[in-house]
Amino acid sequence: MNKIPAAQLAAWLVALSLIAMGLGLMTGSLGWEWGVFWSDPIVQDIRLPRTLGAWLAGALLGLAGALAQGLFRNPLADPYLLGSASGASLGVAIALSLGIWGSASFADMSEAMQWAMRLGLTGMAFVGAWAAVLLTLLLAKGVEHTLRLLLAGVVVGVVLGAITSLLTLISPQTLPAMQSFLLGNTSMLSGQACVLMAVVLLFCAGLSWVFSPLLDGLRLGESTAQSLGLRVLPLRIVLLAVMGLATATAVAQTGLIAFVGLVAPHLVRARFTGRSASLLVLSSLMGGVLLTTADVLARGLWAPQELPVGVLTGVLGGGYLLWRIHSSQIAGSSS
Amino acid sequence: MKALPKLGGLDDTQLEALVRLKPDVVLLAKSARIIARLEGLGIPVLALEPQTPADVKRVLQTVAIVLQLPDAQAQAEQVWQGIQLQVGQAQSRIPLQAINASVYFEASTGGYAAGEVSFIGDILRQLGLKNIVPKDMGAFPQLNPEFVVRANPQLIVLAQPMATNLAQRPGWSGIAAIKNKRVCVFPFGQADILVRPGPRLGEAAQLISDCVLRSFAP
Amino acid sequence: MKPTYALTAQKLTVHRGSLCVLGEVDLSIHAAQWTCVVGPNGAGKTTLLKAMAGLLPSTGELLVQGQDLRMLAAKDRAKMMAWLGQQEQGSDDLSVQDVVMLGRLPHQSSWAGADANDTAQVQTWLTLLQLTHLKEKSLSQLSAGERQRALLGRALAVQAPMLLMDEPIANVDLPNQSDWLQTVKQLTQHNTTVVSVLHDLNLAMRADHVVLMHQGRLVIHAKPDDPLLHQALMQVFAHRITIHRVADQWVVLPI
Repeated sequence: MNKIPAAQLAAWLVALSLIAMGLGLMTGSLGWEWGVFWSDPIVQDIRLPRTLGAWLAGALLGLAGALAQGLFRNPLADPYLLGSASGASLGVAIALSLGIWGSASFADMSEAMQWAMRLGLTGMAFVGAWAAVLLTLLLAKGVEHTLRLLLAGVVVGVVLGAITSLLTLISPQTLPAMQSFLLGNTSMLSGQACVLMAVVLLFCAGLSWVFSPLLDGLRLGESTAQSLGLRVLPLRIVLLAVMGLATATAVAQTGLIAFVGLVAPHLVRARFTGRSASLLVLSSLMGGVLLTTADVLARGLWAPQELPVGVLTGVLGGGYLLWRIHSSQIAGSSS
Repeated sequence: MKALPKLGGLDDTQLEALVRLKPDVVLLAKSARIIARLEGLGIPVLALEPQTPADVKRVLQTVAIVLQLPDAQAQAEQVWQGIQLQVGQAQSRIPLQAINASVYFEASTGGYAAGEVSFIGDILRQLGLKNIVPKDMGAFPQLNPEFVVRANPQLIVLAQPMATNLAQRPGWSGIAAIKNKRVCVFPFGQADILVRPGPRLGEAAQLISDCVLRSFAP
Repeated sequence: MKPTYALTAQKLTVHRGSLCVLGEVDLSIHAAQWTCVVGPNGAGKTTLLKAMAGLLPSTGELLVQGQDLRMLAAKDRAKMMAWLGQQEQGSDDLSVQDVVMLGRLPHQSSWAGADANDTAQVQTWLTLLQLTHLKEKSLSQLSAGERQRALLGRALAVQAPMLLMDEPIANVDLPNQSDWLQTVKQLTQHNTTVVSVLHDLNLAMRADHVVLMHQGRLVIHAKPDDPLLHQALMQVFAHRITIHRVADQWVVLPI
């Protein structure tokens, strides 16, 4: 495919975002309605924050995915590599279980349980995601060896997943709610959530931009990156932290959404090569487009019922990857 | 019935403990995986899964026969009448203003509503309440919150965990039920009876009618 | 005239765990000349080079242009010494231009990207290395020789007075090897100090100086004509080689 310059691709993605968001504003419990009535409180209170929130969450995941693939030099890396997905699930499972047990009396609960209740599902998911990433870093004894990091991430994922399963076994009533979280859901996004995600997105994007030279250097190997004056270790820590923050924020608000973080950088690289800084921003924009589109479909296909948006991203994302593998197998030998 | 040993949760029955108790027959839901195993061990099983009140009536009769009660038919009928009495009492407690009031029952976090064809949906209907979820959407559809806002239910029923921040859900502060504080919140123990009542449907009806009475009190 | 040294090392030692992989090397690299490091497999050639480049933790004194290497800020060090690694993998989706541009990183601040000067530098090197017609192509589309030139271009774009290369022409055919030798000559004529690790002794004997390593220690540092060097080579390579003078060059052949 022909490559196009960053600015052009960015313009395309912004246009697509606006179209997707426009469609989002027109899609609701009555399916697709042409024309948006701004005065309608449903549009203002529900559809606007939800559509915007989907875009922001997608942008966070796209950014995190690009960071993951750049830091681990692996095109199959996704933002959930360091165990953040299982950590968030565990946080949610704990919150849900406490919600059941804690119906007795707020005052009776221990300090920890009270904090968990205050944080709510969103807060607990965020804390859980972070805790898992920290655990992975501890297990890997720092960020020096990518292989160790990846393995630690797998271990943490499996162990936390097992604990989560145990919790849902003890309180099986939490199962439907857990499933809702695991499959992703934008229905409860509020204006506040959007503001929060926007702030985090700007912060993460800014930091990523400034420290993106590390990703450029890493494309030539660690020694070369070091020789170019990049302080690999501290920069890696910062970018991993940014990746963790972006992922945790998105997951806390919308649950686990598959494939957006994985596929967005791929789609960008199909049409663009160049500086990592541009790649990060473009992946972010692409992630926004992807999730907004999936969300519109999730709401519109079966209105007024909703498909979990994670199912759609899984199907679409997985399908795209399959197509890529298939077409690269055909083109594979000719080089 | 005297106290029985607890042998497990939803689908993880402790097989050894069960066999050791030498039951004459095991009653379980149709979807239990253990059926094949028990039959293989030669233990008689009876699969029961009441999905509607009519089912419950049949189940009572079946259980009476299995328990080898003298005059099983009559005994079952007696228990059934008892349940019906509870339901009747519940119905009578519904105040006039609440008849035909629209209701939204949230079965689980994530917007899973109980439709008319669900068990609890049927109970709500018997109590004279109108479910905002029509029949064709099935038992537990996952609803777009817009739908609930548009339907503007006069009464909302849900369990404690889902009730936190109900009014802060985007766009929900304008719903009649929330404005008029007609929200029935049940602690989780009771919510269990509501969503999976089975033979306790009388209890379920009464729990709801009590709440409706409180909510619609002038 | 007293020779100037681009880099001096005293008792340079590198440990990997409890194992000593480089032991107490005393070495002075002549400025604006080509020094080649040779030795059998596992002799510590790459370790020495990396230690000199500051890419491996080491003990002992290490001065570059008279300054303590370990006291330099990362970017300052980067501007003094360019590094070209063994079998450096460029990302396959990077274009030649992108790769060479990466060499300008030590000169760029984090906020700004490439400026006009960077672009001009990149153009210069692309032209010098005859890569201009390939600049838009991705690395995966190039031949081994072209790829090597591109990666070399990246190292040269750093514009450092010292260039360290680890097996830079491992998979490259003879014409490209000849080009490479020419490039190195031109670099030294323009005051760049070149240090390379080569396993091909024939090419190594074309250098201005040869450093022979064996089992983590420096055996000898001498000019290619020096008979002591020849003796040392014979010894280190267990007398499995012969050294001949052919067409005004030293040729090393296996027995």
